[in-house]
Amino acid sequence: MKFFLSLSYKEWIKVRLYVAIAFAIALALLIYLYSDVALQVRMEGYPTLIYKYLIGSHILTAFDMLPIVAGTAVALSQFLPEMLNKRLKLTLHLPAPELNIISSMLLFGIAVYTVIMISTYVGISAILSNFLPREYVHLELMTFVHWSIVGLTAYGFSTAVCIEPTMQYKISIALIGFATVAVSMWTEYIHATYIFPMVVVLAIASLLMSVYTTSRFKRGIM
Amino acid sequence: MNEIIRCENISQYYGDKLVYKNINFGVEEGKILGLLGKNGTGKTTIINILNGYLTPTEGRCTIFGHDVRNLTPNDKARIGLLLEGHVQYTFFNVNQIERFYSRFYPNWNADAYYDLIKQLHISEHQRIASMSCGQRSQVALGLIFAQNPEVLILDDFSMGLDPGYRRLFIERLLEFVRNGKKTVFLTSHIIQDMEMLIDDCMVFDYGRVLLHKPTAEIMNTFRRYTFDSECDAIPHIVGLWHTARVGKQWETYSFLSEEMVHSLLEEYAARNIVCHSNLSLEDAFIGLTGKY
Repeated sequence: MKFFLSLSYKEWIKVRLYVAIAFAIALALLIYLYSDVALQVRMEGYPTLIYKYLIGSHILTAFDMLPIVAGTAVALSQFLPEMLNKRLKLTLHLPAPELNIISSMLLFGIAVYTVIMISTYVGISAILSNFLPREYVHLELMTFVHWSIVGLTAYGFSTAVCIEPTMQYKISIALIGFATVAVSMWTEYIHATYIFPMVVVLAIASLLMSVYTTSRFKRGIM
Repeated sequence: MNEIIRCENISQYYGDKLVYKNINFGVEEGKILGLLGKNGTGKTTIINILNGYLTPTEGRCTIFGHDVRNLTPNDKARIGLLLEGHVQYTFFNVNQIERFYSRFYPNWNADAYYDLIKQLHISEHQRIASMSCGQRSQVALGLIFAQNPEVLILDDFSMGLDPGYRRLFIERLLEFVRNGKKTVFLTSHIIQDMEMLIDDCMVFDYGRVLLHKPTAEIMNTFRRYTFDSECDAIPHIVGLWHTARVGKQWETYSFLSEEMVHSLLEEYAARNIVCHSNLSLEDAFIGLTGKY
């Protein structure tokens, strides 16, 4: 734990600006969500609003890219500075097993990303609960959770691309990551949960990919 | 003879290109070994192998008796690393970087770091990114001093530094090393700096270790000779290094005594043989590796 907290000091200094930007974007989207739903309720009334959503319209369309952008931004803000002049060598030379070091960095990134997503989730829940039935709010929130897991996949693949030492593999990982994220987002909103297990597995695989590329970096693969 | 750093039968290929084959060397406790070599002879490669960031094609290196690819956290705490270009985390400021590293090393000595920083006349809130090369080098050195490692591995420690900072770096490093019986392995392209610093000198040539001797022995016994001869060509003579015509004269280098050099050159009608002693390490390096 002490090692994780010590390493987190460095990680926080790298990511804090981008976390602030992510929170600002999330807040702006929440304000937009509130004003959008409130306007629709005022102009069209509750029954029309609910009917519209039940036949295929969606409330959270503005949020669909937020998790992917946030995950990628956290990864790049953490690992791009490490790869400039191969500073990752300094980090991996810290007195701890390399697996502990990279795991701690990933854990920090996941934690920061999760805080951003949970905050947004709470905001969405608070806003929608004022206007819509509980059952529908639940479905929308599950869709957002699905997107959040996909954002984690984007974090994992972005990290792997940063750390991978060879350009050929970087491009391959980037293409695989893009395809994985695209497939994971390719769902019906209301019924997002049916491929949820696959999305979770892909997110875990992307994080393991980061660990694998770190071992390639350590071995000096060129 | 306690060798803290040891490399055995190291062979390295990049694809089909051979860097070196069956390199063997060690660094004794308390000694400073300087690695010299022309560009492309594998100096940074051996540093990367020693740091554990390159798996050699064959062979192994050990520090404190442990394979460098599997160093324990305790081993890593006892090794100070200086990456080429004095690379450090540029997103930190002077205070933050010290605060970060101090959490990992139980014997951290913050005074050693700040004593060096004070000499730079920079604010403690100045970011590393906004510093000059020289200032960054002193920050990197200060962090190593504060860590107080038993082994130092310094990759091209003088890169990008002006003469003033190079001299400051060397003097401080020498004082630190001599006070604590540190073992040092370092590389640099500026051989005058190495001359002031190293106990032992190892010269890499393409594919092999050309020479590994105490620096004092090289400086005291390696000589340059100039002579006249009517010969158009002089073949390689065992005991003489890089015998070549330079303008109207011939020159050669040797560890052998002056009398032995004279007798070796008799066959080639050498006359007016002049022995130039008091070579600098740079002159000796040129003599050993040849001019481009």
